[in-house]
Amino acid sequence: MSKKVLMKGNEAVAESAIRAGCKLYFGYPITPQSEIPEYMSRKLPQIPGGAYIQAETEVSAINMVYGAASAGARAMTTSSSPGISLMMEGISYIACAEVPCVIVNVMRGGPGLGNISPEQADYFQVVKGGGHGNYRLVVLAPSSVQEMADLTYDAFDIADRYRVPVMLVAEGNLGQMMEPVEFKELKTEFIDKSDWALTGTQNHEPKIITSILLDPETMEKHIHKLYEKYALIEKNEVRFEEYLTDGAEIIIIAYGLISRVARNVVDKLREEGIKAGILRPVSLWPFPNEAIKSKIKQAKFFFVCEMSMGQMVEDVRLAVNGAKPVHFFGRCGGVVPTPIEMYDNVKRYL
Amino acid sequence: MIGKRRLTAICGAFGTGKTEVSVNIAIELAAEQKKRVILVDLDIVNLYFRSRDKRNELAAKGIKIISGAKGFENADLPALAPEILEVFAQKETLVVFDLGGSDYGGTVLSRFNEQLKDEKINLWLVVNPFRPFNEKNKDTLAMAEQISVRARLPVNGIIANPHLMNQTTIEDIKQGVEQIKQLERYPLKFLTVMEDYYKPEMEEEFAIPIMVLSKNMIQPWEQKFTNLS
Repeated sequence: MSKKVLMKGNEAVAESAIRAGCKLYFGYPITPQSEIPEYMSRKLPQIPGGAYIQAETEVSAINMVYGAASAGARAMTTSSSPGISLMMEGISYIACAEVPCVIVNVMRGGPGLGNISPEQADYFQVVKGGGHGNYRLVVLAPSSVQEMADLTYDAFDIADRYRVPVMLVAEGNLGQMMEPVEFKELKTEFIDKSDWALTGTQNHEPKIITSILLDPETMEKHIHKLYEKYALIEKNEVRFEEYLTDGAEIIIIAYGLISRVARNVVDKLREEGIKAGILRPVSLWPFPNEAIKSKIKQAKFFFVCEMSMGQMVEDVRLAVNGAKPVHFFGRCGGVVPTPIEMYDNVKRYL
Repeated sequence: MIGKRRLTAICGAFGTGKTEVSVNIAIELAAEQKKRVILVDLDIVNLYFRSRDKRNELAAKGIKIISGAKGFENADLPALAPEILEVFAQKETLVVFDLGGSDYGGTVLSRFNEQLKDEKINLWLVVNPFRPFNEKNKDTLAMAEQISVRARLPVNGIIANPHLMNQTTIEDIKQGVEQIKQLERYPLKFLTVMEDYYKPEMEEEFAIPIMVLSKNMIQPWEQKFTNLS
């Protein structure tokens, strides 16, 4: 049989996490990501050392991840928008305590309980903070089921490399849709965590992992240390993909699933002789500022498309800094823009 | 394809193609027979990519869809429309039930156990060996048994739906069919092949009836640029 399997985005994340050595999963069901806990609940108990726990709330789930990852294990939790809101306190603690872990957010319509249709309106929450205090969250945004699998591997590696929480964000329909996927060979060099992980005190002094630093100067020093690390991440981990941007005068910026709608639009515009291309941020933080800046000279305008009222567009405006017009088109509430309406909206500015 | 029975229920593991197959059976029935066709969407398990999303397209083909309780079509609630009961009384109507994934889908069908005592129903399992929980035949058989238990009705047929979406090769279909043929406990009713890669010589090669699927569940980025103003 073909090496490929047909998987939902959610299943691909779950399988990929297991292959990346994640044996501990804690979660709570919420549509449209429930296939992940379902998959984990079937598979993890069959793996030596594997455990699946359905927590009583998302608050518990993220704190279980905090505990398991503090002991040096690769641990993960997943949820959808309202559940991610509940996890924000824990994520802030984890960031402060420098504990590597992976969190997946399969985004749905909001605010409030909203609905279970796909949206991208959690950008502010996950990219700009969400939890309290001085921290950053590495945020990766896949646009296909294959990339859901690939970036899950990478998320665990980045988390371990910098001792940070990493979040994977996908729109609800990316979690739900099926595409063929091939699991690549895992190339991870597992990092030795013995210098910080809590593995018992048999042969060494006790270690402490904490997010409470009562002395202001000690806290400030710790925050500076975190930000040195974030500067390194901004230098090393920016990811983006370009499509037909060579000589493009219209630069469409879209991430996740709707970047594929944009591809369809760009193909159509190119057919008509209009020079359009796509710059797709794959890492939402660190944001591909420099890549966007490098297009200012050639661009007539930037066109940002999101499944929200406009959130990433603010980062694009910061990067462009008034040098060229930045136009926005968005649908929200769980409505996925069609290629035709995106095309019509780009054409308005020609 | 569906034989003499008036009622057909399509079941299977999550994402094996139940909705695409159900919609296609309904379209074929509406085209071939001069009877009313109703597609009952019993998928209260998952709200993404369901047959109710295609209500208007199917109405144009003479197919009525009955789905979740009115006003709650987009809620993940275990609620069914009361009008479903009508299909059991209208003996001239052909009915296709699109069940939700796995044995949970069977539970929903068992709610109509009383109505199904007097009338035989096709309960057919869609199998795609490229899906995680259909990869091994023993898992597929276990799923069929679980569905039978929950539905309180025996699974009595298999629909082979081996594919990898738009990356499917003839070789994939061949290997998929070979594997599914070993599921000897249930009669293999037919093989489905998407119209994009269907070839007439397949009929002879596979020696089982083939249903050529038209693709009805289309993603936004797959939409064609037609009728632009």
